[in-house]
Amino acid sequence: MNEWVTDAPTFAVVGKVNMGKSSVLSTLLEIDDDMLIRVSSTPGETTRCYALPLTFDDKEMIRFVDTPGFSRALEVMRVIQDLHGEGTPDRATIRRFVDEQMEKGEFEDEARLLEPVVEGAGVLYVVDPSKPMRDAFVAEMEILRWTGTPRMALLNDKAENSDRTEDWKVRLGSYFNLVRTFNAHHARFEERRSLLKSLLEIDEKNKNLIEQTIRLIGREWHQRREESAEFIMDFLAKALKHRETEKIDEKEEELEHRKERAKERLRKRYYSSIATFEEQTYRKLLKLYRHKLLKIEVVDEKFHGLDLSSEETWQKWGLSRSQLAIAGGLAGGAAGAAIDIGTAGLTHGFGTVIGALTGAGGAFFNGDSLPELKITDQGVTFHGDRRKALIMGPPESDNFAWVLLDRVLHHYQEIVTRSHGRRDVGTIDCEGEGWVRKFGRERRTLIQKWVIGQLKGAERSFDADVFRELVSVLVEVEKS
Amino acid sequence: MAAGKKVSWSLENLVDFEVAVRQSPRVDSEVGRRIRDEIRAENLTDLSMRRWGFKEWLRSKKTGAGGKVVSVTRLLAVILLAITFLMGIGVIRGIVTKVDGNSSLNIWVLLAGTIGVQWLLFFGGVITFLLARYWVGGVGWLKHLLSSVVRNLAGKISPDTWRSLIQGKGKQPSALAWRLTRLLQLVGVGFNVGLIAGLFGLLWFTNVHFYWESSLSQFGGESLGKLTRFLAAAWGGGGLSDSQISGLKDIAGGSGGENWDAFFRFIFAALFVWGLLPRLLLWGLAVLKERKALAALEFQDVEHRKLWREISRVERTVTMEGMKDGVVLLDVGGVGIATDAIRPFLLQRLRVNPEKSFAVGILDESEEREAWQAMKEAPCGVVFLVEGWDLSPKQIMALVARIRKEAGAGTVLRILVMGDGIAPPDADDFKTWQEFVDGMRDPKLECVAFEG
Repeated sequence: MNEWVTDAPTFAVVGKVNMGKSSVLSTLLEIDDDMLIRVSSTPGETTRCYALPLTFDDKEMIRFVDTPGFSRALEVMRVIQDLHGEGTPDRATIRRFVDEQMEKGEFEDEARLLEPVVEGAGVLYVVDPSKPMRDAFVAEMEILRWTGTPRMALLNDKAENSDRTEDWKVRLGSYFNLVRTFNAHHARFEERRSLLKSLLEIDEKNKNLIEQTIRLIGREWHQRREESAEFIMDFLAKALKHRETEKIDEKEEELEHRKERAKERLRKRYYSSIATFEEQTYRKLLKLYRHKLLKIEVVDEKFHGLDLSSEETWQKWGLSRSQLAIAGGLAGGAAGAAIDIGTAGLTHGFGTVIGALTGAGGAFFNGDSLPELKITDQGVTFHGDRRKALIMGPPESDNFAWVLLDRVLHHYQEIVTRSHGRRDVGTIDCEGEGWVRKFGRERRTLIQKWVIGQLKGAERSFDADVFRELVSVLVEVEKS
Repeated sequence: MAAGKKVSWSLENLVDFEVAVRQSPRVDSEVGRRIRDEIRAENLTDLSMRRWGFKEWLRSKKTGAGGKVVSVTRLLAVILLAITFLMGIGVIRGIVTKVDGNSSLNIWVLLAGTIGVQWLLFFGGVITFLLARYWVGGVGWLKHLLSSVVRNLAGKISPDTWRSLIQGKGKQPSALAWRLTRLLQLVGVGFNVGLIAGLFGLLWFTNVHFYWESSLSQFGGESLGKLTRFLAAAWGGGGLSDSQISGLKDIAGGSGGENWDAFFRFIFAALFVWGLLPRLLLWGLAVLKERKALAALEFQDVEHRKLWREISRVERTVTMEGMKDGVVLLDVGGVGIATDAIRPFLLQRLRVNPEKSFAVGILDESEEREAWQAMKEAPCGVVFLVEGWDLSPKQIMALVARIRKEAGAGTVLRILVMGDGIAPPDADDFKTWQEFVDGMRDPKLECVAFEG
């Protein structure tokens, strides 16, 4: 009975120790959990074969087998040749080698790694092209060729465009049906999918299952992207509508230093709430994209210190003043135009003009206003206790939304481009460039209209058109 | 129905769906699995999958609300058609006056009361609609009224569900709103058919006189000529000639004659072209728009998206277990070497991975429990970390016996003998350890020397 090969297409990932086999699998299967796949720079980290099935809806679609790796390939080659005698060794000889060595234990690792191959698993041979070609590698390729199974070579280009890559490609080309490059530390979704597509070329008999797997992976990604867009919309709507209220007594109202203290408390609470909303969003995104090692560092001070009147902020995040004014003008103009149409032109286009001017002017002049503290004149009722209150939020500036969106998009990119094969603990920081300035006018106007609606406390935070646009934005962010 | 086929949605389906999605969005596991299996086998676009999948889901969720809404709109259509038909007849009957004992119709009043009022209402409605769309969210007041009548008659549909049905979704128009528009246009159709029938009946059954004479100069013959020519231009006619208009002027004029024949032809054509036809066209347009809206349903509301996620959820399940090479590292006697320092040796020589480590002798009770549990679960057993010079036979024997008791007789035990620090042990020390271990005669216990 086969231990490794099942009804699902099975591929053994083999190669010399420390070539990054486990790392390739981690990236391909999106697993950054050492309990499931151990990745480290210590040679020999993988001590035995183990199955890594890709299962959808309880159905195993495809299976990879991680293997310990060749450590004595030249000696193994000679032993197999001796076992076979004259001529070229075949799979039967290798099976004999495996059976014998499983008992003897002299070449235990090689016997283990060849076990799934002699059972019929396809071969993914991983090499690091930054390493020089040695005889041991040739021996490995020769042994794999003798197995007669469909095989593909993967250049796990850790050093990126190593000088030896071309030489490796030429050499591998004579031993393998297919040679592909795959950087386990940088491969994005498209590269992962493309690698799976390559499997079709070496395993035609399982074409249907592999194609179905590729489709499912595509749909899963699409679903994640849509969910991400929903999370981002939710976060923006929440942040834009958020208000913090603190009742103040007469002393606090009249004594300036006490009022200042109350204001400071409230300000801190407001920014802390926004930071919490943002953090919750990132946690959801990290879970969605199956990241355990990527950490978030969102502290409310970052928001607190976000000064929209500083040139640095304007240069980095959100829309520029002119873009903000144009977006505001177009959104205001559209609202005014509805009045012109409503009056069958009796207003002679004044609605459009006034709407556009108000929108543009408001966006331009309020562009650098942070959420403002207000003291209500009439007071606010707190369970029958009618006192004056300090209120903070929603923000005066439309750009606040754009700054938040910029940050989320920046972090989204960090999340989707982070490879699961990496084992360093990454942190999502605030360094980087903004995205929203690259948006086209139509997109800016559409989002600006939605932002204005949310700032005014719109009942529904979901808008299908804005959602679709946001999904397109995420596609662009993923590709760039 | 297979997922690949184009799926058509009716208004009844849509109402049922919106009600079900808000009332009981649960997905039966069997239904969900069937839908998933179908859509996974086909290479479909997201939209066609969604339209098909939701329709399949709806089959398991009959609410009956859609049927009621459609029945109510049909019933209302019949009632409104009947009422407005009678209203049309009534209007014609109402503008007939008795002059000199004869039934007479003032042509100006006839045109104003039939075609004029309708177009005035139409323009007023358009302006109100445009303004109201901005202020009350997409529904003109008449439609608003009709909407609440339909909702109340159709039964228990929550305001949220109804709002979602009646409001367009972004650029997507609402099919139900177009159904109501269709109803409103039917009101116009009924009224105009009533007008035509009323006029026909009047001419057929009574001897009616026509005249236009007025004391106001604006309503003179010239104006009437212009008006008839304007109205007749719609069907390529020339309207009434000056002589025909002159012949119609006199209030006391008798019936019959070619002037009257010309006016009959004109007024029926005008009522048809300016009254009935626009309503029929608008009604047809509303039917078309409703169909288009149903054909373009995208199901992108938050509730739809949530449900679709539940139905079509594509998510990998983690069924992998990882490598079964874990051991528990037990520091005997406080060797104090960091696990990371000997990890490569354990991995490369012993082919085991130190998953957890504990120190003997300093365990508190809870830590001790954790240690026994870890030893029981470790697939490759326990590695004792000892120093070559520090062999205390009784301690090791007691420890082995305890582990055998707590973790089971099958647990593999290895004694890793270290030298001074991270170094191999002295050969004599290691020999002593080997002899001691051999003496224990435990097939699952072995002694290994650290190799730096």
